[in-house]
Amino acid sequence: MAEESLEEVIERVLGGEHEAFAGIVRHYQREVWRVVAGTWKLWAGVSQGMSGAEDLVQQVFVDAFLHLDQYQPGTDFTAWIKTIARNRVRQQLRAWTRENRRLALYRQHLLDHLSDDTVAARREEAYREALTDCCRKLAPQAAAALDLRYRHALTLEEIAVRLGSTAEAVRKVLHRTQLLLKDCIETRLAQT
Amino acid sequence: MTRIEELTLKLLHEPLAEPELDELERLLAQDDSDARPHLALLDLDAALRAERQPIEVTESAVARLTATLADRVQRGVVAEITAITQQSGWHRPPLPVPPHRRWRIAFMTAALLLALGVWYGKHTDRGAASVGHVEQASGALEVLTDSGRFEPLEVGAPLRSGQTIRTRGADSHAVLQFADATRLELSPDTLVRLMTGTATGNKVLVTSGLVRANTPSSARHPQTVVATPQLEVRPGEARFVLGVTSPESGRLDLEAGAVAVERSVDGRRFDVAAGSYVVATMEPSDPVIRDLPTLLVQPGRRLDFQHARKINFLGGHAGLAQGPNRLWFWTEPDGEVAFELPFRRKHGSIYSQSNFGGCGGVSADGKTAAVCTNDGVIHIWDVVRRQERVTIDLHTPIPQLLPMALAPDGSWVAMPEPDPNQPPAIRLWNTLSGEELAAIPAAASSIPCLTVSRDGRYLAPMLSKPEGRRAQPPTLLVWDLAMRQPLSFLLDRATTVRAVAFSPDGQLLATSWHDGKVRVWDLTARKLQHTLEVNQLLYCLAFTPDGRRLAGGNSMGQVKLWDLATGEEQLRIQAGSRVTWDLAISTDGTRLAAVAHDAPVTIWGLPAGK
Repeated sequence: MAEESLEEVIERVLGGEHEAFAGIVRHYQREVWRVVAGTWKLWAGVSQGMSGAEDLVQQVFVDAFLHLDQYQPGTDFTAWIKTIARNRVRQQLRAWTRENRRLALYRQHLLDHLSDDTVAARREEAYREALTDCCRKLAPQAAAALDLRYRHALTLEEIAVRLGSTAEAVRKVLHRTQLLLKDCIETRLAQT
Repeated sequence: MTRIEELTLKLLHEPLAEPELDELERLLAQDDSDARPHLALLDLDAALRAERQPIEVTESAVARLTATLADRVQRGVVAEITAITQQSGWHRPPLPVPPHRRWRIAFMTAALLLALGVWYGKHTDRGAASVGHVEQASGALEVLTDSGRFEPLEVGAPLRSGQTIRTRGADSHAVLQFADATRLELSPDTLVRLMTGTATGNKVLVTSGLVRANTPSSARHPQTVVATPQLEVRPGEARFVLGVTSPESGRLDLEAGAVAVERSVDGRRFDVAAGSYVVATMEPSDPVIRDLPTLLVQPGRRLDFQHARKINFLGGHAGLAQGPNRLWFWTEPDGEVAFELPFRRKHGSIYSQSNFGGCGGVSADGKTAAVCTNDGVIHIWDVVRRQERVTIDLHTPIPQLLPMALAPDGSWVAMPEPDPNQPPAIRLWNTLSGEELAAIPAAASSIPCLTVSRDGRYLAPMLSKPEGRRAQPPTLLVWDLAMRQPLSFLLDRATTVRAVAFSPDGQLLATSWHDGKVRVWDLTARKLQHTLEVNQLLYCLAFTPDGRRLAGGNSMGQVKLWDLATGEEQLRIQAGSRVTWDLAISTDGTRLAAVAHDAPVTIWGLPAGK
């Protein structure tokens, strides 16, 4: 794609011809891929598949589409889209780093629990028993919401439809119920 | 509700905004105690998620396993080729390959050829003409499908080239009938691959296990070649048994007719006459052809005890046989049935169609019997009074058949821990009170057999296996009940045990392994005393009273007797045509009792040892 024709394509996209954006994707995907995928394995971790890198490349083009009006005609479009790609990678890195810090806490918590096989097995059993007993004490509406959320993996909106309620009400019920269960289980485990 | 709880609960059900994530991180970093409710809610979320219906991953897991194994083979072959080229150089003549590598190279090559064969079969043999059919089958008979899984193969199903067929489990058995009238009898746990394209016609490659072949003379059809990775048998009119238990060697026993044998290792041919056997190894040395030992086919007596699985002599005057639901006592030497003891139970099913003859046992003095039911109860019977003495409730179902051993005087019974969630152990109970006496830790969760020495001192085996290292040799542990400590014996290779027997004086322990060897340990000297290359899997073992000879029963209903000092096979007894479940030798060493699948208990006269 020549620079002249790029300007024309951008004009068409900005004029509402969204499908014309496919030409831009086709032409610049290699450059974006280089930014994202070149280092993907190094920062995403070796256990991550390349499908995550593809997701990120797609997200970069979504970002570019949404901010296409900010592109200054006559400047280097490659540089512009690469900047968007780097921003997206930076954002992803920050989010993951933060999540990793939070998860590190929970992983350590899990490791502490799993350090002794016998203790872990005993605790799992005690926890399961406590959970079963505490669930028995739940109000029918709360139990139903919990069942639909966890056993049937429904979204808050889907649960709301099933229960003839609103998503916000379901959210509140779930939050309240989980707090109740947490306290009930802690009390039971402390007794045993 | 605290702010941490609020944010955590929100996090569990929807994505948090950037400022909320920052806030949560800040709060968690402040104090360890602040993190507690956060972690408790995550625990609850995990527990609730675990309640969801289990996912179905069987197919994907099996596909992944198949891919992993294929990858390993491929990597192994490449490594071997690399090693060879590095050793030999490109222009120099090849250096001699160390003997221990030869069989590995040959095995890898065979595996590669097999893999190529599977691939070729997948892409070319769809709709290939039938070369025969399944004539008989019992137990599990399976064929390898294109998806890499084994599926059941029915009687009457056509046989096609490219197929890989196996029998699975000790009570499995099949007869394959080929178009050229060759009949092939597959013993338990045997794997064969059907191939075409040889100059003479079909070829059946026996990869593991034992087959008996009957090849009639035929002028019209090219005859089926039966082969192992080490040798090819080109029969005229012949009846022979071909066995493979390890990558190193194969064994041919020619019972009738004559065959020409071609060694795949070095391409040479030699002839074998009826009444001979030959063991072919991966070493390109001349194979030694030996005479088959005397074969006994007519027993002294037959005792028709239906589905008997275990037998024993009680002193010189009586014997007993145990089936899944019944115990028979007979008197010696007339073989009259003294009495029968039916096991009646209120609940649960006694394991009856078992690989090892039922979960149960009888003490050496014949006074106490035990059977277990799948609902987790051990029933102890007083044989003298002919009534149930005590029941031991394990409070857990017995998910699979487990071996059992009774003290010689019947005072205790031992069984592996049946609950897979508990640490592996051998548990011992008092047979008078039902009280648990001990739980001996056993490193391996799978304990296929359990035997106690006649003086009640040793209990074997408890296997120990290095965690996560499947190919590593295990350690055989024998528990010294008197000293309350294990004796450990390191194995030279990774294999699994199938049968064990103590010598009458309790000093020797004979063990039969899946690599086709019998290893005999001296428990006093704590060393490996003998290794018999029997080239087949033995399902039961028994010593003669002097401890100098050992009898073992194979999957073809044969009992063989070896001299331990020389390794010479002295006698062969045809006790049936299927798995030999158990055998016993009388205390005076003059009689041998054997019981094979679907066959009566047979009593044989034993010649005196040399």
